[in-house]
Amino acid sequence: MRSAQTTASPGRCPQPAASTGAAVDLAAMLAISAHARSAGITSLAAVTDRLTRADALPVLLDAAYEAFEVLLLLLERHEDPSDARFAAFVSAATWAANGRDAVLFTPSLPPRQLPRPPGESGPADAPGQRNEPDAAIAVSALLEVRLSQAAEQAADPADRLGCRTAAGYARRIRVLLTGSGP
Amino acid sequence: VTGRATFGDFLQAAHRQLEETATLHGAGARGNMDEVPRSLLREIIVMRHYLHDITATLHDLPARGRPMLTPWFQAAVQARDALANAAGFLARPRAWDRPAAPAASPLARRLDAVTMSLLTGRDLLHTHFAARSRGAPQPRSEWGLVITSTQVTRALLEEIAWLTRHSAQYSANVALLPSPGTSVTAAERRQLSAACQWLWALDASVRTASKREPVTDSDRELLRAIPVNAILGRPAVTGGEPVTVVYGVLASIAERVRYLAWASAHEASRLPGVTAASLRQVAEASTVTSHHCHLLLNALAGRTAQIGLKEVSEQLIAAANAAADARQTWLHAAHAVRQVTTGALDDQPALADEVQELALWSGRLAYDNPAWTLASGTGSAVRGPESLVPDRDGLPGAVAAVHQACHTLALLSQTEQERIHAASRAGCILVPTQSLTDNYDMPQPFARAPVERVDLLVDRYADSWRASREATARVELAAETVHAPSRVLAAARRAAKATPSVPGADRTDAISRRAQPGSDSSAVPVSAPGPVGQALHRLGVTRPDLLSRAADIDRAGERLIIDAAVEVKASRRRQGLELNSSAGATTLINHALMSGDPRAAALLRRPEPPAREPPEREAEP
Repeated sequence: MRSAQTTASPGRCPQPAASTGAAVDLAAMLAISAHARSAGITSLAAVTDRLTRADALPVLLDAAYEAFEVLLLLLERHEDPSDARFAAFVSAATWAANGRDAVLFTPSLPPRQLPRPPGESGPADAPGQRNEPDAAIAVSALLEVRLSQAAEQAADPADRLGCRTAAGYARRIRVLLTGSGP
Repeated sequence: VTGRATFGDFLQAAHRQLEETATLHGAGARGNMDEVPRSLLREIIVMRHYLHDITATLHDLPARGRPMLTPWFQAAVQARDALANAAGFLARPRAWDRPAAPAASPLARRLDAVTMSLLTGRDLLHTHFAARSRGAPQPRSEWGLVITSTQVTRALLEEIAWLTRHSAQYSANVALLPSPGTSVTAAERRQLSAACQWLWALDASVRTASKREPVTDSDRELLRAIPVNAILGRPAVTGGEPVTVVYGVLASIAERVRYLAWASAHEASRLPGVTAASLRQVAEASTVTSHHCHLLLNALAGRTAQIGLKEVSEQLIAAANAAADARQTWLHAAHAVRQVTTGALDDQPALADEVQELALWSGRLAYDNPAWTLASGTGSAVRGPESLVPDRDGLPGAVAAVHQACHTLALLSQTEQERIHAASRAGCILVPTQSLTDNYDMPQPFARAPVERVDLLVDRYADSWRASREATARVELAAETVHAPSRVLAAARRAAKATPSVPGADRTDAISRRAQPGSDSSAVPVSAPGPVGQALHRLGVTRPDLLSRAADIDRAGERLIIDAAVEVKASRRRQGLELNSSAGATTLINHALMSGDPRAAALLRRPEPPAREPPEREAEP
């Protein structure tokens, strides 16, 4: 079992830049957030905002951890056997849990959740919003980009590994939900 | 079940040696007295190893529950003693060494071939157990539990009796035939005769047990179906195969998963390196597979209704509903396992990958898309009944494929519980600190899972096991009704959980109920008439009434000899008395023993002192 170090000095989080993987720029990220908020998916919108604006690795990891948690809840809500995408949602939820864990064991993740800006904790999302899968695709793409960038630039090898692994899980979620994979 | 070598293959090879008798008579028998005793001894030694396996298992039971009085336990003990006595008469220096060259005698060559088949068959059975220095062996597969069951034990004893009966028949003839020009002594002939007579005593013990508690066709089928415990290669497939090929692919993958599930549970008990990623992948794929089973069983119910199989259709509808229940419990297990974590990376990727294959190929059967994947989403329609079973003849294969998948899910729900228990014992089950109440003051983002969280997780898998077991039991009924090749799994499951020994007692044991207890498959096909009947044959008599009278006289003579021997033995006045004093007397005793009367063992004497048993070494053909 890998032991985690919670006292590692956090590195600076890189700003969004052109990267391999899904092509999502800052404007697009903010659009995702706006889209989620307009669809009533407030937790997703909030976490998208935090992912977009994170300027330090601990902040990004804190946001990524929460993003995977929100994705997990959202995907589990859609595990309906009468839906033709049942298998995809079940599988994507597994990858969301794996992604959360990959972040959980990065040394730079703060031991406790960072304080949220005042007023962010709005009403809980209404279950089963029709646009949720689309929002989940967008957030997984955002996670993939931000975590891939962090993996390239983090100082601690364990942070790099955790970010790279989590980015891979985010990519799998996107592929499953878009049906673009093998 | 899916192309692996089975115990039945080796049993059949042994049978063939003793069923084809044309070359065992006449000139071909010359020289036998030099080689047959040695070859017969080697066969007896291997059989003794089988009996050792059987009785070791029985002796491992607690003394209070040991079935001392069951017919088959008695038969096993008597058979073991009979083999020891037979070996005692044939023991000679280096008798069990590997022969320098193949035997010249046709019979000896056949006995050697039987020995080789039995040796290999025993090796096959042993692949299902982990080596243990003492007591009953530890099962390494689901078949390990079956091999030690009452059903398989009695079927195996019946087979051993069949082989000893036939081997004794031919060998006894050799002992009685004159062989001019050889240096064989009368004592050597008497020794061979005595050994054969003990083999008939073994047969009589088994026949007695069989009369009290018959061996069923289901028992025999189960024994023969035991496969070698080895993982099959992945089927070579491209994704565009016809549906009938996919049946076999799914069954083959299901077998691979079961092999890996046993292996991973065994591994976890020794080295608990289980990861959440692996547990999740298995739970997720099991959820998806049970969903596919539900879809497939519904389609099969529709197809069987179309072709007028109303009973099967109702069985399949019930199974489809049970599979839906199983799906829900697997989904809950998947949710529960997402709420815990472990620190390790992948532990058993082979198992997790193979369960994913099960989900994939059950999906390719359930959906009308040969390239279906988890990501296919709305692009694939559920396969219709006619597409799933284009031809009525394909129905058993289709049912077998789903049966194999359901059976595998039931096993996974058990083995995954074992893996979780092992990980929990090792303190490897963790939870994110954020998921704990503020009472937990942890300096890290994760902490050891509270016991109630682990209990909840295990409860979810226990629910999956109950629901998957129920779904499998429902599919079993349909599998047996349509004679699906997978129906042996049902018999195996019943045997493994020690069902009642009375045939037909199990509600689903349709095969046992079809068995005909009156049909005496243990009859000796090579049995000759008694001495009086043989004399009439030599005179060319063919009149049925005369031959019938001769048979009556022979039977009366046998009874007289046996009754007398029992009485004399009871008075302890026949210690060491040799009854094989002449060819005529030997013929009479042989015939009395062949009658199957267990009291005929009173005619036999034990080997003379020192009568040391041959060393317990494996024969090396």
